Amino acid sequence: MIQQLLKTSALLCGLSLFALQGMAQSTFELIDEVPANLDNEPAPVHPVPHPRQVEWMRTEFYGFFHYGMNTFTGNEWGNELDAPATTYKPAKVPNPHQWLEVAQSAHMKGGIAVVKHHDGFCLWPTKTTDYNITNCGNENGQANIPELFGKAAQELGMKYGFYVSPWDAHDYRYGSAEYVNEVFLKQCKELADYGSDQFEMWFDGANGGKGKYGGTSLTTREIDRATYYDVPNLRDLIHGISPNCVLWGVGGEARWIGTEEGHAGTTNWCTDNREEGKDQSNAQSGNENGWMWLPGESDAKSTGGWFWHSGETLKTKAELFTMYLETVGRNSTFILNIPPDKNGEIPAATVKRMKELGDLLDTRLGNNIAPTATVTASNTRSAGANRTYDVANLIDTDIESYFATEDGVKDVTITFELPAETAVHYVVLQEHIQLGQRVKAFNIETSLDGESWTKFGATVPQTTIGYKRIIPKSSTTSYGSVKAKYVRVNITDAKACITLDNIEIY
Amino acid sequence: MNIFKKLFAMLVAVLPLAANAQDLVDINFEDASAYKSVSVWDWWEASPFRTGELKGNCQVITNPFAHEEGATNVSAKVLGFQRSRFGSNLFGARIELAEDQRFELTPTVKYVHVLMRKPVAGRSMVIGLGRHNESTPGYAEQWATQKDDVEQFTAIGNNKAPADQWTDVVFPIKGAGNITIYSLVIVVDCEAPTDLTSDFLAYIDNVKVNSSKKAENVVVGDYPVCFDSDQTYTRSDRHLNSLTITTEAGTYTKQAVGKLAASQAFDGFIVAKAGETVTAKCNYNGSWMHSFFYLDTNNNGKFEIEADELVSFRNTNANDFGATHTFTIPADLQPGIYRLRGKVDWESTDPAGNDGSAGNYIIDNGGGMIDVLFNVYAPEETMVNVGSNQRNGTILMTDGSEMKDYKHQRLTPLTVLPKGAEGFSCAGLIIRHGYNVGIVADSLQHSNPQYLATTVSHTQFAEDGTYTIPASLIDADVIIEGIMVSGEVPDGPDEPVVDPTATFPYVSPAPVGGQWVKGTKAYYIQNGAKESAWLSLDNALDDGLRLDANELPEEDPRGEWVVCGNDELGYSFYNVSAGAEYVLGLVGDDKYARVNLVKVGEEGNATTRFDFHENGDGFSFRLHGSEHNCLNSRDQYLALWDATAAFATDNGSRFTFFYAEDVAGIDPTPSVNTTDKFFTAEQLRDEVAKNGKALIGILNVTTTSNKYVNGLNYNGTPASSMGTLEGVRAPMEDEIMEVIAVEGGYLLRQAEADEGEGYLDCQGGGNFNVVGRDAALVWTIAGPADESYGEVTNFDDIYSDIAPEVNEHMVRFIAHDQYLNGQNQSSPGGLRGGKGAWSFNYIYNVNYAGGDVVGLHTVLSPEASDAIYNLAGQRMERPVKGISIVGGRKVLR
Repeated sequence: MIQQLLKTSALLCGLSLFALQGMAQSTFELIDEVPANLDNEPAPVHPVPHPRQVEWMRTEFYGFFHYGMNTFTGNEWGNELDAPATTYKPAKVPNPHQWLEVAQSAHMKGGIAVVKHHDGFCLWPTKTTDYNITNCGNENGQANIPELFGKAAQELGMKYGFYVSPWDAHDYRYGSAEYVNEVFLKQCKELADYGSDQFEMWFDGANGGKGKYGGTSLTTREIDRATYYDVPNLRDLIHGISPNCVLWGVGGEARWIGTEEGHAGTTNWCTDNREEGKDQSNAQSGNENGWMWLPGESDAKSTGGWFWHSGETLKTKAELFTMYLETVGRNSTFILNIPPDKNGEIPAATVKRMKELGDLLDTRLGNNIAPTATVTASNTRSAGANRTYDVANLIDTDIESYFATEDGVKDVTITFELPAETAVHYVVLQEHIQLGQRVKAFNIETSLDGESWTKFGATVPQTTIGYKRIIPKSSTTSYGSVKAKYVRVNITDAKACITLDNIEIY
Repeated sequence: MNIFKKLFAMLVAVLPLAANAQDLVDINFEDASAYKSVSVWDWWEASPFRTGELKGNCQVITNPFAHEEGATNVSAKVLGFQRSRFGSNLFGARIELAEDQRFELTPTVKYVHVLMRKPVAGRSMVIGLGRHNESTPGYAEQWATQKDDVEQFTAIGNNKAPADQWTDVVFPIKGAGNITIYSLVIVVDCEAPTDLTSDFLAYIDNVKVNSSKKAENVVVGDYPVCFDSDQTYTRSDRHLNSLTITTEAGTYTKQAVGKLAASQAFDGFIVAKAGETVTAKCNYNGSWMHSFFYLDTNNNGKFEIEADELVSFRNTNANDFGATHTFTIPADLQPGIYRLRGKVDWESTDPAGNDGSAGNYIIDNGGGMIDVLFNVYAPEETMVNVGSNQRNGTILMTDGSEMKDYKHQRLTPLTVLPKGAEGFSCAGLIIRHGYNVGIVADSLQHSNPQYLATTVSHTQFAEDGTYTIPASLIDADVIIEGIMVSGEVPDGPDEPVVDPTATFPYVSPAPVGGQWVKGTKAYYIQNGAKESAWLSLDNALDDGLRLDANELPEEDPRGEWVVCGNDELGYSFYNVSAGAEYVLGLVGDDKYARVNLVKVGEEGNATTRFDFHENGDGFSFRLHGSEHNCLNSRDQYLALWDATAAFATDNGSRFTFFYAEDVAGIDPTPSVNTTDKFFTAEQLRDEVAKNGKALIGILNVTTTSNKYVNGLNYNGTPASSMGTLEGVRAPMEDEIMEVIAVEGGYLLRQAEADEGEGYLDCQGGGNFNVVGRDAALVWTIAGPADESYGEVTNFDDIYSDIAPEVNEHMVRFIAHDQYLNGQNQSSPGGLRGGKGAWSFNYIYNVNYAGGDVVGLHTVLSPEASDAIYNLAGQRMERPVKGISIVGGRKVLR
């Protein structure tokens, strides 16, 4: 009925307007515009990552260092306590260089240092508040953590960044625009000024709630995360200083994976529908049709808490390795918490455990035998003027080269013939994510004779790949293997033609 | 509605609208004054449109559709945009705003309206580009060099434009404030262009920014109806109350929403298997109507008769409105959420309703429709995926193992063990259940929510800390999120947190119903004028409270005070000895007036609220809303003082607080009965005894009429089909009565009346009258087991059609040996001596959770507020036992 009425009314309107304007023809037509594409590159499957997001994903595994006032109060959040600055009294000069050495021994490529948690105490001489190390009354406590951390990372050739809590249970201005403009944004800028080569700034999702906020009793202050922290302009501010810095969580350039247990979904898309300031509801899986590249990061603890606690128990190396497989091995980055103690150092037991993890990674994922294989594919994209897409690109060391199929070819079989029968434990796949994430389903098979094939990782869902997928023979908790002379990867469904950076076999 | 009036309304809608005085932006492209330039823009930094390799095609053109048949946009000019397959999914038309069109982005939501037309359906987006303006604190230091094309917001449209139709797509936007928007980028199609094999042309017109959420032009959106979406029924004698649908999973009754002629009863999914035969029925009050059921099997947002989506109808007999329908879910229907519409109408299979073009307009005939959601699953899919999203804790199985890649039997309960991480505990759970690849897709598809959510308080957990999720929530894939909080959650019912806007450090929760509530703290108050000037009733005289030299009134409730309120409304002072029904108030309006206790609700024009300010180690209190009238000691009386400063800081204005005691109080979170739809007399008395009052509908049920007491009479709209309780609708707002216990009996009061008013009384002659408290009748509530119930006449004849087991629910209200009676429908009911059918009532429990599932669900929405309140209107930190209000909706715990 509505349409009938519209027709009638439009007729009346049209007649009147006709009298005023006369007839007119539309001359708006399609123009034929096609980019050159001399290299015959596949069209991107949007959304695609920003170059900083690609670099961020390449970091893969990095450390999280929760250190600060809570180390000395035994709290995890510390929002209700509001301890005086003098409570912060490290027994030694804190040693971020040691923190990063420990992380490096576990094959982590970088680290994030917590420099202000919800308690509001700042581990650098900020101009924004008196509640910082300069007023702790302790000589060891004067160590400027972000400065030391950044320098140590640069010396060790590692990536670095900082965690700064948007929520501040100490500051009396929290909840007002004054806090954001005079405290939070300025703190972020001060931290960005410690190095233009930072790779990540971490913004916790816990926001608002109980605190003393400069008073003597607890009150609750809540804010609208979608607007309060002025996140779009925060991004602009930080990128102007540190262009490759990914703003995580509330920062809106990488998402929380949705759990702190150290695993992502076996199906995990790097795309999602970002809502400013909010945790994603599909966090472990992403959203296949998401409008933005928003890759996941899994945060997990190596001990019982985020901050150091006396008598804490460490996760075993087997547990940590499983977490690695279920995060880095499922298209997520993995930030593993390693809390320094009251000496400002990583405790000896943790040092030992991280070395064990590094050794385990060396043992199980240190010897890639794929480059020794003869590789063939059922379809290969034609070369361009300056680029080829051969299977050789899957086993070379050039991180910019990649394999691709012809346009419209959404399934392909890639076969590796190994020099000899070998026990195969893991197969690693990586898409060329610069052109978007495409693969929806795949499977892996092995054979001794090239004729009869057995499913590899039969109980492991094999759907998405993304930046990296590690498929174990049996499961992420066992170190099973199968004797194989041939390994073949069957991509069975994808959004568009297939692009793969890398295949590794262990 | 007269068809010509409708035509007029449509004419207004399709003509170019005059600029609304509230529009911040208004661009119609008829002239170039409102914009500086138009161009293409791409979010993707490596885009060929950014590198300059491709130019793009975006220009103001003659409207090519102005003269088409049935044109809905006849404006002369529009913005043409070529959607290139070589742009990203966020490639759009950039409109650089003229200086007077630039607007400020603030935390208050505004809406961008874009009238667009494109050959493909799907999502659209608006991206705002701009920068901080000079009003921003710290501008010179941080923002002076900022460019004016920084992304400030990205907004997906609230509605999707169908293909080839002009549609006003509405985009909600907000930001931190002090941000000026310089450009709007209209992304007409933000789906990935992966499968685009050729470019297409799209058109944009009437770009506005204002505070209106509603789409402006006439839009045929999803599941249209032939009347306004907020149309209410216009007849009191004919109304669609509910649908009853039976599947193998159970029987579901879905209520109409208020008085809406078209309702969406999305408070839970109806679960059915593909290939299953279901029955459905409309519960309708009235006669001479037909009934129809539609199922959108191709999920395209329309009920298409040609696609066999009219799955059942009865339109041959006059009473076909009440027929039981049977239809089969197609066996090949893919698992997912599908909309079903049940409609009562006359001689029209149109799912939008009979538009009256040939007479019998659906609204005029008292017809209506209710849409519900089917959750269809494949019969062989007996298991669902269960996962958890978690921070600061984990959701475990009862054996302590992790819930990883877990599957559970569909429609069977699941017991989980929420566990907080070290230093955290679990305050509750949010359980999301839904469809489409494990809750991966958008929450709304063609306006149908793909998943629902239920929040559970920790008070519902078992003693061992486990929680058993009802089978009804395990109807599809499930995500469980624990609400983990720092520290321990308190034992027992949750305590309301102090109002977040109450910063006075000694504030307590407000009394409820004249009673203290749990968490109330009392203080001794010392005045600074004299060392021992304690505020105490011991010194009270008729003309004020003295602040004499006396000793600390230790453990004396006359000297103990409770402060309640918040910064916005001010704070009030109560005395423990006088009780929560009295508050300090200024007697008279003299600026030196004295303060004394006045009775709440009878304070006349006395002012009872104060604002506070720090004064040394104490506080000053200024009359709320005044500029300089502070509490002070005046001649040793507590009185106002007309200070010259905004806040007095002298000794006499200083009041220092010392903790006295915790005041015993009632549980502010009444555990109301939510499980019984109808109260027996005993249950009603118990409910009132427990919670101080009960909210009910008083329904007279006979073989000839079922009507609620509505104000003065039983002349309200029919509640259900005659002579039966099946499908009884809940009472409307004006049909809700309060039952309040008083000495000697109960008061009956209209719940929506002003405070102190609305009490039921009877005039001479026995007719009802609604009066103030003092004149109210005191009633006795009696059921069949009570002696006062009295005789029954013609019982069997009257109630022969009603099942005997419901008779225990019959209740009589008695006063002065007569009965509340609904006889003579056309005139006010009242007290009658008659003991016939009209003196019997069924009592509908307003807090009944209702329906086939345990609890009510909250549909997730990006804009839904997370604010949680109890029924007393107090802000809660987490959901409470019983009913809470979450995001404006009732939720059961």
